Amino acid sequence: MPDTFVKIASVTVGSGGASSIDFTSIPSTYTDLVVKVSGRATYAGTTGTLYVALNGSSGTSIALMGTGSGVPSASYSGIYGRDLSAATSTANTFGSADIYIPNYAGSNYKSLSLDTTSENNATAIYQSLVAGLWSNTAAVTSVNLTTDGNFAQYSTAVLYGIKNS
Amino acid sequence: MASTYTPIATHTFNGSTSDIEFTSIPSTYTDIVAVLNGRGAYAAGTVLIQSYLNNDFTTVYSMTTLRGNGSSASSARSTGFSGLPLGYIPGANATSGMFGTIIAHFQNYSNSTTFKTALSRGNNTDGQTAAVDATVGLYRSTSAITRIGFATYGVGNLVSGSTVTIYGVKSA
Repeated sequence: MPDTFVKIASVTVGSGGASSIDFTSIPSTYTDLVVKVSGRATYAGTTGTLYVALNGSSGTSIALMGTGSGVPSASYSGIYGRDLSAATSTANTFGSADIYIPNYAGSNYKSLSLDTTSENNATAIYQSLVAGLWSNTAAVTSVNLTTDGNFAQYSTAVLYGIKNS
Repeated sequence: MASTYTPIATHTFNGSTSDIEFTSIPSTYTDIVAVLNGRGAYAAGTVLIQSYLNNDFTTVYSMTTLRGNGSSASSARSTGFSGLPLGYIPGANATSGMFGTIIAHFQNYSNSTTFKTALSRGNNTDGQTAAVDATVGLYRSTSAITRIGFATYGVGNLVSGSTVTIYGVKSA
């Protein structure tokens, strides 16, 4: 019986940053996918949204957010992790995201569960619980991550496969 | 050696049942993680999924939940449940092909000294009744958990292709 959370691929952003982090040619041999992100956007603000696309196309999502002063909820015409840290947040500070995609190779629409947070030693911060939907029956073969601006150097993303047997 | 997400058991629904129970769960892990990806057959926008532990249907479960529906947030708390609410998945009235995801963590499930807690995330993006929720549940029993069941809240079956898997997580 295998231990799971098998690493499929990983990306560490080098100097100069990266406009996207892409996992392609994802094998269909696992049951679920997990993407773990440690990220900082180069956007000139305190937070940058994490945008998730599957097979090159976006989906929809609903978020419940904590900002430190309120609990807003919003719906989006894309799969958005709200948020990562960005250029004017505390230096050397990265946000985190955890993306779970069950039955990614199945023939139903794909449901995603995202938990995301920015980090900032100040008042502007976002922590979000996100329900995502990719209305496509195709197997997921690629995961594309983008943010506001670029991903800053030292941002990382790791794609894992989980098998249910 | 620590291990993560070791599959213990899995079930794929065929559309004719409303629940599944995993029994004889080994005590050798630290936590249990359950992943359910499914859709209910009941004629509603959403269907509640609950868990029952050790085949216990007495009113020893309580929960607090935080929910966002895309425009506002809400919270609710209940005690005296006969099952542990985990979250909502799409029902028969949701957009065709849409499945929802529930991820539940049963912490320190095999000890025999403390009440058992569970943390769950529900994800349902159906247009009419969409919601993302986070729920903390309490099973007021010190018994080690050896059986975990998943069921609709008395409303219909899970459609064919719905799946639920339990994984073991070891801390050392």
